Order: sequence, then C-alpha cells, then structure tokens
Amino acid sequence: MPIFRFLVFTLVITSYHAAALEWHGLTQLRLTNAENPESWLQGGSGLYQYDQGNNGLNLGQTLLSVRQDLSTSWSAHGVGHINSGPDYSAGFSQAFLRYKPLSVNRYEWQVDVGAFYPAMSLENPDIGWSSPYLYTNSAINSWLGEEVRTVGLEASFSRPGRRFRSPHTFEWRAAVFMANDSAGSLLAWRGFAIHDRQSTLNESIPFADNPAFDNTPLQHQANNVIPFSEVDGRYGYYTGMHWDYYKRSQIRLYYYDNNGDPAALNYRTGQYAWDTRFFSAAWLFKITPRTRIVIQGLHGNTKMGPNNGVDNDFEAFFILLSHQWGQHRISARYDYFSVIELDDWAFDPNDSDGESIALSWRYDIDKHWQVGGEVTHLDSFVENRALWWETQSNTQRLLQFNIQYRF
Amino acid sequence: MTRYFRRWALVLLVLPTSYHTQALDVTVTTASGERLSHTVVWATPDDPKVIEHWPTMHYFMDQVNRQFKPHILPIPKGASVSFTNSDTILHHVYSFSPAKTFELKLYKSNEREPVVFNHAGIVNVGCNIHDWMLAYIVVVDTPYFSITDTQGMAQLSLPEGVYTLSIWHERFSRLGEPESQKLTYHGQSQLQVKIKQALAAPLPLFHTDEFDDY
Repeated sequence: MPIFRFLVFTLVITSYHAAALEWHGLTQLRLTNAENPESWLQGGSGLYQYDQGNNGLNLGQTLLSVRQDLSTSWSAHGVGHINSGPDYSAGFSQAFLRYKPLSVNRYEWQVDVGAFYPAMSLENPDIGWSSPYLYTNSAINSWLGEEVRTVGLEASFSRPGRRFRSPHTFEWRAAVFMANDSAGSLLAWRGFAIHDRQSTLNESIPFADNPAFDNTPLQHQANNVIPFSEVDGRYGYYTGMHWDYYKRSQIRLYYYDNNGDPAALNYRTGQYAWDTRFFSAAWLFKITPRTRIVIQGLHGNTKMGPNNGVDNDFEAFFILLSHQWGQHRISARYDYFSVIELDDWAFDPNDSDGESIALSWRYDIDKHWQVGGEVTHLDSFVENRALWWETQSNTQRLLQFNIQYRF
Repeated sequence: MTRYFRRWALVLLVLPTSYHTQALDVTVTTASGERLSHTVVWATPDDPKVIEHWPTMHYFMDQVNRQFKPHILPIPKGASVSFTNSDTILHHVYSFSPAKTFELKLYKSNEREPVVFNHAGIVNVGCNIHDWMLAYIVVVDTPYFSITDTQGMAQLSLPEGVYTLSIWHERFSRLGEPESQKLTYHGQSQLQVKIKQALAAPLPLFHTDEFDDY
C-alpha cells in the first residue's frame, strides 16, 4: 500500500537525524512444550500458536519500535516484527505519522495517520504493543493483535486532570479507517485463541482447510484471512473514551464498527467483507503501586455473505492480576471466550467457547536481559472440529521458558 | 546520587558568607494552623546592596517513572536548569509560562543544553507526551530562598535588614501571585507565617510507572 511505502521511506530518509531518532527493541527465545491439536498456523484446530510439531526452541516476540521526530509536532512511528510461525516472515505491525502540537491552553489534541492499534486495551503497554505481564495475550488481545488495526486517521482530544487541578483525566478518540474488512473470519472458523503473535500489515493468516468451503455458498472463501485488506471500499469507524483517576484507575470504553458490506467479495484473494462491530470495556486498577488488576470485556457481532449466511455473536472476558517485587513479576490471568452462531447454515458450524488459565513469572536480570516461564491451561469447544472428525472439546497445555533481550 | 550531592553542594557554597548572616527558621501553616510542606519561601531585601554576591547556579530536573523530580524547584533568577531523563523513553518538556517559554525533547542518549531562567516568576512545566506530568520552577529575585520540609519548616540564611518575605504553594488559587509580607530581620531565629487564602484541595502525585505511556 502506498501509505506504508511512504512511511517507511520517511523513516529511512530522516533517520540520519540521529539525535531525533528513538528506537527500542526486544527479542525472545522460547523453549515451548505444547499439546495438540495442531496450531491453526499449521492448518490445525488448536488454539495455541505452538503445538507438538514445533516443541523445542522457537523465536518469540521479536520487534523493533522506531520513532523519528520530524519537527516539534510531527513524528513518524514504525514497529517491525519477525514472526516465526508458520514460516519466518518480517513486516510492520504499525506505521504511522503523529501530529501532536504543544498546546498553549489546557486541553490537548493529536492526530495519527497510518496503521496502528486502537488504544482500547490495557494489557499491552510495553514497546510494540507487547505485554509486560504474560507471554501469551488474553483471548481478546490475541484476536485484536491478529485481526484488528486502524488503517486510517484517528483524532483525540483530552482534558488532562493535572492542568485542571483534578484527579480525573478524560480523553475522547475517534477514527475513520479502511482495510479492516476481513476482521471476524478467524472468530467464525477458528474461534478465539491464546497467543501473542501480531499480524503484520501485508500478511495472510492461514487456518484449517475448511470442508465447509467445498462446493457450498462459501466456495470463494480462501483458507486464510488477509486481515488488513480492503474489499468493499467503505469506511469504518470507532470511537472511544478514556477516563483516568490519578493514573491509578484507567478505564477505556470503545465502540468499533468496520461498516463492512457483507455482500462484497474479492474473488482473487478469497476475502469477504465482514460487517463486524463490537463494544470493548477495559479497566486497569493499581491496588498498590506494585499490584494491579486488568480487566477487559468484549461483546460484538460479525456477519458476512449477501444474506448474512455467516452470522455470529462473540464475547470474551479476562481478568489479570500482576504483582511486582524487586526484579520479579508474577502474573495470572483467567480468560473466558465464546462465539455464538446465529445463522442456520448447518454445513458451516461456528459455535465455539472456552476458558483459559495462565500463570507466568518474569525476572529482570538487568535492564537488558529477562528470563521467565509460563504455564497455560486451555479448555475449548470448537464445533467445526467435527468436520475433520476431531473431538469438539479439547484440553491443551502450553509450557514456555523464555529468555528475552531488550534495548 | 552524585547529581543530588552536587546540587546541594552548590546551594551550600552560595550561602552568603558575611558574619551578619544568621539562620531564620520559618514555619508555614495554613489558615487553620496546619503545617504546610513544599511551600517556597524567599526573602527579597529592600536594599539590593545587602546581597553580597550572586554566583551562577546550576540545578537539575530529572524525569523518573514518568514524573518530574523534583516536582517543585525553587531557583534564583539567572540560574540554569539541566533537564535529564532517567526513563528509557522520550519526554518532551515544555513551558508556555510568561517567565520562561521553552521546549526540549529529551532523547535517551542525548544531553541537552541547560535552560537559563532570567526572569522571576512561576514556570509551569509539562510534558507533551505524558499529559499528567507537571512541575513548577519558582524563579525568585533573591539568593535567600528555601522550601518547607514535611514539618512545614524552611531555613533562610539572611544578613540583617528589611525584606519582603514571599511564600508560594501549588495549592494557591492564583498560581502567579505569591503572598507577601514585610520582614525586619535583626537576628531572631524563629518566624511563623500563616497563609491567608484558602488552599485548593491537595492533589498528590499521580501513581505512574514505566507502563503508563500507552
């Protein structure tokens, strides 16, 4: 897409202004032990990115986050990733320009143009939308990381509490975007998953070779999703409100609607436009400066096809507790997720639900090196596993030992 | 550690050395009698010749865990302040206050030139990236100044003379207007100052850490 080329070009040509360049990165090497079914990345119906086929050493989050200031108010931002599954690939998860002028009055505003995450989550505040808490994301943020991105323009307007002698800060955000038409495909045909893989802007994500696409009204659908593709030529939008109390309590409420035309189909790429809309509510509360709780809930609907042949409600929730003492951090998370089929296409079952518990420990050896481990337990029911003659209910466990270097 | 030691060492060095100089303990209380910390207290002599010398002074304001440190920094007119960054991320420090307008981007690997404050007044400092960050640099037109401790006490080392004693607190309703009174100093050791106005509600430092910039 021309805008990404322009942004990358901007980053490159201005990078010789070394003083105005900030970069941070991290890379993780993981020893994993996972249970089947095989991962969707390998064409299976498992809900982890790892499976028995790649037990052993794997590359985890590997990313470089760059900010190049162009002037007092303008900056260019990019986050590049190397993903290891299903094959090694590289790309940008975010690339955008930010305009944030110094504000003479007490209110502030900014505009982002390009590709970036809507700021609806509170689980991923580390560089490049990574999480400082666990080595997997919640079901909600696993999905946002793979199928949701703003490719467009977002404006925000805030009333910083400090400037009004108030402990309350309010911020309002609104965006118009394109190229998020396929969001919802993975929820329908795989269901929610538990992982920390972020889709890059130009890639397609495979999923199981679905018999429901053979000689049915779904025959033009590919066995993959190209999450950030434009199919129907229509604009989507979202709007969100942030409410902080002393930065101790942080609440984010968002409504997202990609305004997809369910009848639109790109025959060449096998991608439908999905009409996907959802409401997200997230809350972070610092019980003490060292102990925090993060909660997020999501409820929405996604549909595709001229007569909404695939029509699913979806909802998910997680609660995360994290405690830090010294250089140690221990985090635990409970996830619940569900996709509820509303259509009557019996050949394409979409119901799925599950629960997950994850427990992780991280230890900062110094400011660069960190080691840690995580155990995750996942019970899931995925109705369409029966199409492959698999049991619909499954229990999977994932053990990870992780070593991380950051700079 | 060295940085703070250096700062205090500088402050000690510039205390006037005249034998007339004596220590005055000022206790600041609210209208209802409670002792008030973080109040800036300064004494401006009516006769400027009392000030024996006014050396160049240098201060530091750091960024730690997405907060300014210190939150309130009194300095004499003409002093310079180095804005340092102990965080691993960028800060964009700025002020539009009439006493000093400036902006600086503090990259992690980049030392910036100190900012010189040549006009007395209250300088309200913010960060364009972290909108909860706020600090005050109180620029005073005298070398005789201090800030009250947790007991509401501040010590001024003054030569005898006639002064305008000013006090300022961030909870004043009009931030640009210190409260003042006349002080004839002839070596007494104690002074009680009661703030006349009702103070705004206290606003403790926001709970912030390295994951609060998203």
